Amino acid sequence: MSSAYGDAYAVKVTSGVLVTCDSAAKQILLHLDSKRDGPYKFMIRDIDETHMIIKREYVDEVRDSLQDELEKNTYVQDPNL
Amino acid sequence: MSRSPSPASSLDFFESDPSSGEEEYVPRRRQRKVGAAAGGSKKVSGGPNAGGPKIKINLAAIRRAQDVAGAHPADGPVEEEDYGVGDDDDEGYFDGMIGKRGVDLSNQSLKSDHALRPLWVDDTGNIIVEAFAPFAKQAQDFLVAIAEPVSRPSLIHEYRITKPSLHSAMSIGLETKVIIEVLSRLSKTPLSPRLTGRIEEWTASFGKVRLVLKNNRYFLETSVPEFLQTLMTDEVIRDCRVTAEAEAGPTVFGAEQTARPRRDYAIPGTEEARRAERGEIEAGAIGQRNRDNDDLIGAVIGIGEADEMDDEDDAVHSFEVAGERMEDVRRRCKDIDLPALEEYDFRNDVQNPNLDIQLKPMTVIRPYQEMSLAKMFGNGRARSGVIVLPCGAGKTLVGITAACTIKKSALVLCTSAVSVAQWKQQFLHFSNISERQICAFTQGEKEMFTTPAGIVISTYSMIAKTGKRAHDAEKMMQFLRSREWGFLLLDEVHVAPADMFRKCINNFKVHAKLGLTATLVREDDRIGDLGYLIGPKLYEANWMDLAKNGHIATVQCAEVWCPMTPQFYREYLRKSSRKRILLHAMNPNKVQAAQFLINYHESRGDKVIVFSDNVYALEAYAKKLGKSFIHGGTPEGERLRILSRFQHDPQLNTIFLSKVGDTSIDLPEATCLIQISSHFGSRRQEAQRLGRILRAKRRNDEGFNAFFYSLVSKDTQEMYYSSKRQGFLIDQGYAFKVITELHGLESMPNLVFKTISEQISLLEDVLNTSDDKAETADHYMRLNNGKLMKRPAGTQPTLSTAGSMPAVQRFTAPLEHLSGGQNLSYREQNKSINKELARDERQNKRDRVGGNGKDQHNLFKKRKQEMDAIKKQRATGV
Repeated sequence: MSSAYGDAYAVKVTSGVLVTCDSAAKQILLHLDSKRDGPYKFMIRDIDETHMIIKREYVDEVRDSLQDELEKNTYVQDPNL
Repeated sequence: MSRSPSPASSLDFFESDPSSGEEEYVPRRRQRKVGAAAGGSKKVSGGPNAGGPKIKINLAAIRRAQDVAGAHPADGPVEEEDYGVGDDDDEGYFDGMIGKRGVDLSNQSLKSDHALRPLWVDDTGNIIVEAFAPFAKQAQDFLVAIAEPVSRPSLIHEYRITKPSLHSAMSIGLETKVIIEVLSRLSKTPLSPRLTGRIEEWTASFGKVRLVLKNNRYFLETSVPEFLQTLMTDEVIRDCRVTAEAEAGPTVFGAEQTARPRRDYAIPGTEEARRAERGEIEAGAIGQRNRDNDDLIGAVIGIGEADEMDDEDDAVHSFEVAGERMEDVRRRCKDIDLPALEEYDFRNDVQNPNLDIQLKPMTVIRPYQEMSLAKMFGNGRARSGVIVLPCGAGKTLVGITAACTIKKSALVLCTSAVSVAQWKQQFLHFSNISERQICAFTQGEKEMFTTPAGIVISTYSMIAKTGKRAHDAEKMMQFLRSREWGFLLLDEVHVAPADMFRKCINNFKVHAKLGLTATLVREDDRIGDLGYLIGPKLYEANWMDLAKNGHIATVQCAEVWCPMTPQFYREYLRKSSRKRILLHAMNPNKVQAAQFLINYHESRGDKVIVFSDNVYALEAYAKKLGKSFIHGGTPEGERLRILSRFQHDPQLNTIFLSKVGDTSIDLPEATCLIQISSHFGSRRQEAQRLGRILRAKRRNDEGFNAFFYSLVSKDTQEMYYSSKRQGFLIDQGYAFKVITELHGLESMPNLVFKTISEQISLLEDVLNTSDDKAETADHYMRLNNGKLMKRPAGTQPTLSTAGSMPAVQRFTAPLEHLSGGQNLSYREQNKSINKELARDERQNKRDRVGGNGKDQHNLFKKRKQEMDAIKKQRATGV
């Protein structure tokens, strides 16, 4: 049976992707998320130091951005020559 | 003592130098580890079968030339050309990085017995040596003579043939023909005709033009009239010419025998010289040993002996050039392809008085020292140039032996007054010179020697000082300028290209110049100018060889990766670059790692030095861990006290140093070096720091006896700079181990910053310090025009409006600096250990003296008298 205003104890379900990573990478993801606004934010919920849930559509994008951030800190000698 | 394995050894690590012994020559594909600090890793990809006719080798190169060119914009379009990739005509006077690196021989065919030959040679002069192949040792000896070493780790070496290196080869008597023959014998592929053409072209112009110093005047002389015409009509050289009224054209000095290079001169102190003195071998046979080397090479190539050049009896034409324009003349000659040869024939120089100096019989010269001197005195004459030897390898002895060989008046320049005293003491120790003949020219002493010839030791700053001098200093300078010097010795010559020092070197009339240094690398790439100031690089020692033979310590280098704590990392991501420096330096995990390593090495009995470029981090670490520290702001007395305690006291085993420790302090006993923060990737700095501990020879058991740790915060810009800086050391052959985890860190007692709350309070401290703390100590010195401000309390700072200084200066500084309280400390709970030491000293002194007499301040004397009076009263009254 359902009341007119909807059940106060109804469970809300959102689907997303669980990301498991080390704490430093998690901080990078939080930082990336904070730089975006509105509909582009990918984080749904921050669970603890090593887990978070993000929207399904943004998985690849997040992966690429994370890789870019990590590349910035690596000094790579030129593999050519 | 039981040697527990280092915490690093039992853990997973990545070897940055992946060459791990190959028995059979099979090119293997090596993965480049993404994200790892892959310093110096070489990627070798090759065909499936080794014996196939087409082999392609592609070596990973360090793109320092590009980095440098990008970081320091070149002077003009001319310079740009030199750095171009694929530019074939660059010669790179010192920096072998210019131009293309890497060897592409895919279009060559292998010789049938290629497995017996050790060299790969391409058509631009890059040479790769397989150190595990047969004949590798002889090949390396040969290559040291004709080429410049680029990178020498344990199994694959890289050399490069350049014009200057060929010239130095020719000056010791190797002919073009011989060079080409031997190269083609040792090479796996036939030499390309382009390369042979280039070698011939480069060696053709050698030795035709000479720069000589006669009667205090410089002359450019040549025996080929066409070259003379070219020189005289060239604009730059024409300007530098000095024409007296008497002469109209070039003077002809008559027929002069151009002596062909003879290697029959024995360098004093070597085994040969000793045997010659004892009469075991005749003087004429001394050259035999040198010729034997040729024979060995000759046996390889099948030629009997090097051809002898005929004595030439041509007339020699010359004209005079101005002494002050020497650098321009040399540079111009090199540019127009007529490099001026400068050799000082000291044995036949009768103008300058001889200096009777000899090495003491007990001095022993090590093989690498002998080799470097052989390069300098190769053909019986003295060539000017630079010798590169690692720290602690005996550069002083090399300089002294050179002076003893030339036996003329010598001028020695060092970096500081302390070095002057050290050099004088070493001269007296190693040679039989008398005290009257050697004198120092510093702020403290200004005497001249009274004998006709002698040695003067001074500092760069003394000689280069512009402006007025004291009267006796001026007299001394006149004395120095008026004489003709046989030999100029420059210690730590990598500081010489600075503008200030150039002037001083050009003002003296010197025949032969020798520069000594351990690091021929400068970030601003003015190192090439040294070639024009002094001469080419004569010899560069192989650090790994020296370490293997026990002359310098074997060093284990490791990089410790400390993860950033989430809170620190969060702030790091959001802050500007200056704050980031503080954040990654003060990472609590890093402090823990430093504490762990310090405890570990102290328990092994090592003496530990911790370096930090950032003064704020230095003080914070030292106070937290309870150790003494020295930085620019430490007073002199305290410094000396701490250093002497460090050397002699078994209780004080660790000190923290800032940039001041990089050059001036002499620490012979340190065996472990930890680096917690450094300055943006300077290769020279890291090499110098390694030099601090390379003297550690105390324990000669196998394995490493010295350790170098570089603590890096993971995922920060520190990783980037750290691998950049290791480049130089990796070229010398040191492999960097990476340590990702320290066993037993968690269970260490008294671990600092264990709880999150401690870490967060540290984070707050760091965030609240101003941005200027990220600067190094120099910043404050610069603000005060280089002086440590010590104004007596109560006086106002004067505004000097004289001349160029504006009346008002604006600068940003932390408030405590602006209000004059930067040297005050308001916290008592983190007491500095330095002050503890000072208190101990004073306590000891008081105990000894008895606390009375003239040592006490008036206030305490009065008080003491009052107390004594009261005591007396009580004793008598009661």
